[in-house]
Order: sequence, then C-alpha cells, then structure tokens
Amino acid sequence: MNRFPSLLIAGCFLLLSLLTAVACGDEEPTDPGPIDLPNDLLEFPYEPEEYTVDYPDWLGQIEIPADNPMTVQGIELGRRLFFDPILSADSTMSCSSCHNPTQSFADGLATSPGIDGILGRRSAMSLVNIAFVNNGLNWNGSSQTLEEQALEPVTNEVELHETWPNVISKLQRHETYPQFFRAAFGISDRDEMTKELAAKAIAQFERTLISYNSRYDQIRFGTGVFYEEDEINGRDLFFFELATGLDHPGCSHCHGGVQFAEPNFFNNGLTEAATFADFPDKGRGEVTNIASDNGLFRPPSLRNIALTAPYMHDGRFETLEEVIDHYKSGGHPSPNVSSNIQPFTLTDEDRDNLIAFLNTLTDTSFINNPAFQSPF
Amino acid sequence: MKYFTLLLFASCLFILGCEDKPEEQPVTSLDLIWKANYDGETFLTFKDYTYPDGRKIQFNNFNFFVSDIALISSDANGARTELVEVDYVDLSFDETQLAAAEQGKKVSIKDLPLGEYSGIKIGFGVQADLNRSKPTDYGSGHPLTRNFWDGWSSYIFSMVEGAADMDNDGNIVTGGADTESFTYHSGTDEVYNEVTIDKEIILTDTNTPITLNINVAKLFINANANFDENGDGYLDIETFRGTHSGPNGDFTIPTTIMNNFSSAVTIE
Repeated sequence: MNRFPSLLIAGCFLLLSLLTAVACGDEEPTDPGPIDLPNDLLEFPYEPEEYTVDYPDWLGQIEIPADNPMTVQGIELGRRLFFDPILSADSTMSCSSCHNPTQSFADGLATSPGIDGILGRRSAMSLVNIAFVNNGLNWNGSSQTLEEQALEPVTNEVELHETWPNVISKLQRHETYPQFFRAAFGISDRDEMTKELAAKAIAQFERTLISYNSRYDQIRFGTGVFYEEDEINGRDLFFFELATGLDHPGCSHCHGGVQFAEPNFFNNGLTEAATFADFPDKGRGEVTNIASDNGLFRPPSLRNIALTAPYMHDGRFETLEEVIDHYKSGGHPSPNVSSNIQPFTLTDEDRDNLIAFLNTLTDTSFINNPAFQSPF
Repeated sequence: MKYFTLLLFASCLFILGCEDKPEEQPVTSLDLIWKANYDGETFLTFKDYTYPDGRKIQFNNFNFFVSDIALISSDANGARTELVEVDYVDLSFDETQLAAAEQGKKVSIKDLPLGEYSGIKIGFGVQADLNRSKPTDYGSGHPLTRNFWDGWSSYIFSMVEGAADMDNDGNIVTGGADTESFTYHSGTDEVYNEVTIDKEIILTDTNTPITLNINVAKLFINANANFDENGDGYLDIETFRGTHSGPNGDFTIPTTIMNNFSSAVTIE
C-alpha cells in the first residue's frame, strides 16, 4: 500500500521527462550554429563591478544614463570595441583610427578618410572630456548622447561603411566577444548581443576619457605650480577684456569655463556667405532646420589643443598661429557671424604668449593613460 | 460590552485620524511667459529695425538671466510667494521662427496657493548668492550651466548682440575687417537689478498666464551723457560698440542696460 504513491510519482516523472524530451526535440534549431544556442553564455560569469568615474568636482558633472550604468566590465568591452577594426566592413578601421589616443583622440587630419578612402566632410573631434558635453555631440550637435553617437560611424558610408547586422554577426561568432558582452550586460546567449549594447559599452569607455592634469589644472587647482610670465599674459589675453571697446581676443566667449568650450553654437567667421543659404556646410542648421543656425558649429574644448591640429571643423588651419591670425582679422563676413568675432590688435609677442597659455592645456598623462590605450 | 468597547475604540481612531489629516489648501498653476518687442513690433533676430538716431540696426542674440521671481501678496504683510529661483531667457528667434517669438518662452509653475497679489518682483541678473556658483556646480539643463565669464567671476546677466549701420551707408556689415557689430555684455553683482511691478494678480483655479514683455529698444536709453554723444537720449552705439563689466571696467553701460530692464519690461 505504501509503495503506491512512490510508483505514481516515478511514473509521472518518467512521463514528464518523455514529454519534455519530445518537446525539446521539436525545438531543434534548423541552423545549429553557435549563435542559436540558447543560454550558451551562462557558463561565463556575470559579476558586474560598479565603476565610479574619478574626477575632481571643479571639472563639472557627468550624467550617466540610468539605463547604462558604468561597470568595469562594460568599460572593458567598450574599449575593445573602440579599438577593434571588426566594426568596419573590411576590418581595416576602428573608432580609434580617427580618434587616436596619442593625438588626444583626434587624428591629425583635416578631414578623415573612411575605409573606401573617401574623405569625410568634417575633422574628427577630440574626445577629451567628451562626457561633459551635454548640448549635442559632433560639430553640429547632431547626436544627443554618446550612446546615440556611437551607432552612427559604423553605418556611415564615408567612415566604417558596415551594417550593424553584419557587425553583430561577426561579434556573435567571435571567440571572446560573447563572453565580454555577458560579463558587461548579463546576457544569456549570443542572440541577445545587439548594436544598442555595443553602443552602450563604447559610450561607457568614452565617459572615462577625462583630462584634468594639465599644467593649467595644476596651476589653477593645485599648489606649488606657477605660470611663467608669457603664460600669464596669454591667460589674461584669453580670459580678460577691457570694460569698453572690443580690441581684445575675447577667446573665452566661445571657449569659456574649465572645459574651454561654451555649450552653444557659433559662426566664427570662417566662411564668407551673403545669405543664410550660402554656407557650403550648414552645420547646426542641418540639425535644427533654422536658417540662422546655418554655418554655426560647436566650439571644441581647447584641452590638449596643441595635440589636435589641424583646426576648425574642416581642418583648414595647420597651426595655432593661423587660428589666432584668423580671429585677429575679424574673419569673413556673413549674416550670422558672432558679434564677438571682431578684428583686434595683437602683437607677435602677444600671439606667442597666447599660444604659451594654450600649451598649458596639454595633459600628457591623459594621452599616455594605459586605460585609454588599445587592448590589442 | 465587548462590541461596545470595539466600537468606541474605532470611533476614537476615526476622530483622531480626522484631526491629524491636514487641511488641503487649494492650489493652482501659473505660466510665466517671456516675450520681446522692439518699440511694439515683435522682436526678431536678423531683422532690420530703426535706431533712434535713424540708422538701421539688427540683433543676433538677446538673452538674460532672471532670478528670485516672486508674487507679492495683497495683504498687509506683503508676503512673497516664490515662483522661480533662477532662469535663463533666450529670446533670439529669427524671422522663420515668428510663431515661436510670438508665443514667447513659457515657464510653468505648479502648486501655487490661490490668492490675490499686488505685484510681481523680478531680479534681472543672477542674485548674489547664486552668482557665487559656477556652471560646473550644476547638471545639464540647469539655467546656470552657461554664460559664465571667468574674468569677472560672474554670470553674464544679459547679452545684447547685433550690428548696425555704423557708417550710415545703408548697409549693415557683419563679420570681417569692416564689421559693424556691437556686443553689450553685463554682469557682476553691482549691476543686478531687482524690479517690482505693481499689478493686481488673482490666482484662481484657472491658469491665467502672466506675460512679461521686454522692449529691447528701451535697453539703450542712456542715463549717462558720457555715452550719448549724439544727445538723443540713447546710447551712442557707433562710438561705444561693446561693453563688458568687470573688476577693471567702467560699469556705466552695463549698469545702464541692466537698470533699463525696469522700464523695458511690461506685464500683460
């Protein structure tokens, strides 16, 4: 009598097992490649370690998206993706091809060629302190977040010229990327690898690219480091101006604050244009569709400016001397050139002093930071 | 007896609960709307206007900070109801944005007590306590993340930028060696201007917006003859094409412009 329940349970278990086996047999994948194995990544650990970005308060505030908290594993995945040419169609270029650490994450070119050798329209912007930019990324502010921006170069025909489905397919079949995605985002199988996760990881890495150890930083916020005489004069030319009149460089109108970039868009007199429609590159106007925004561009941070020649959105100036001479001349006329672009008097010595000050913004510890280098 | 005790206990709880419940004050919302005009005409950037001395003038940038905006109660104590701690008002709309210019910049304030008020107080500029802060103290979207001038250690309270036909040849040149631009920037605590506008304002449960309209032309009315060589009562923009307040500066023009907000603003 007492053995009956046990037999019943054993019988049910056997039946259930058979049913389960049959059911599983019905779900056999038609393409038994590795990417279709369910839960094939569960053997790898998912132990995310929270990462706190280390920077001084005086540098500002970084906003981390709630749906993309920074982790050690996410940053590591992002760093790999950033430096890996797997993101391009012919596996020859990566993000770092145009954003090279040794050049403060720019590339030293006026405009950058993509994998097909076609030049882009604009110069690659330095990524130094990019985490502090909150008013739109790229020269015209076309991307609102780093996550959004990271998606664009892959599919851009004059950049990496690839498709995201191809990239994801390559990453899914890669020997190590699936486990890096698992470690960063806790996915269970390769099917869960997406372009959005790839972009999130790249954005996490980019948020770590912070510079705050230039000579300027050491002088202004540290102790025991002082300006040389030429640097002081250059600093005063950069930041200060007379109460009346406009006979001064006025650099900080567009390059103010500790990031040396105002959160705004300006026409700095680069291009002569009779009307708003005559700008060859519409700049901000492409984004807003407001006529008077044509020809406006985001002022880049001047941190590490000595390392990021050539200058301007089209890389037209090879040297800082040329840049200053442009501003000194008052630039070219156009309807919406900033009123702060006015001709001013500047001796050669003053110009050298101004450049001496700009050189204090160079942070070699940033470009040599091992955490910012290629892992390959 | 047992049921009577329970009933008594429940009644006490009910009464005590009623006594603890705070009396809910009726509240409403209010829209503050900022607009600009040039002597009565909707203010637009890159549009030609006529300066009092007859020359053509146009603007490409007009923005300012306001802080400590409050309603003044009609009752005897004149208590203040705070509306806005600080805000950045940019009224730079071009001709293609006429609708936006006519609509103005709106700030919605919620949970205001119903009541009668005798006026509104507005601080033009950034009040001193906040002016000790810097853009790096705030997250994105905060009004004070922009327009800070390191040379003054102050926010730029107002920016009035544009160009005028300085040589009276009928054209306005912007940019280049012959540019006819002007730029008037005002800042530092010395030029902060607190204005109280007397106006009966009744907040009911219906949101009745308050529109504050700035006549940009009035910002140039010159109280100081040193900056009015033409003697027409307005700033001589041909001679004084730029101004910046600051520790080493002459505050006359910045002070004049900021003070002129008092007469330039009207409430609708």
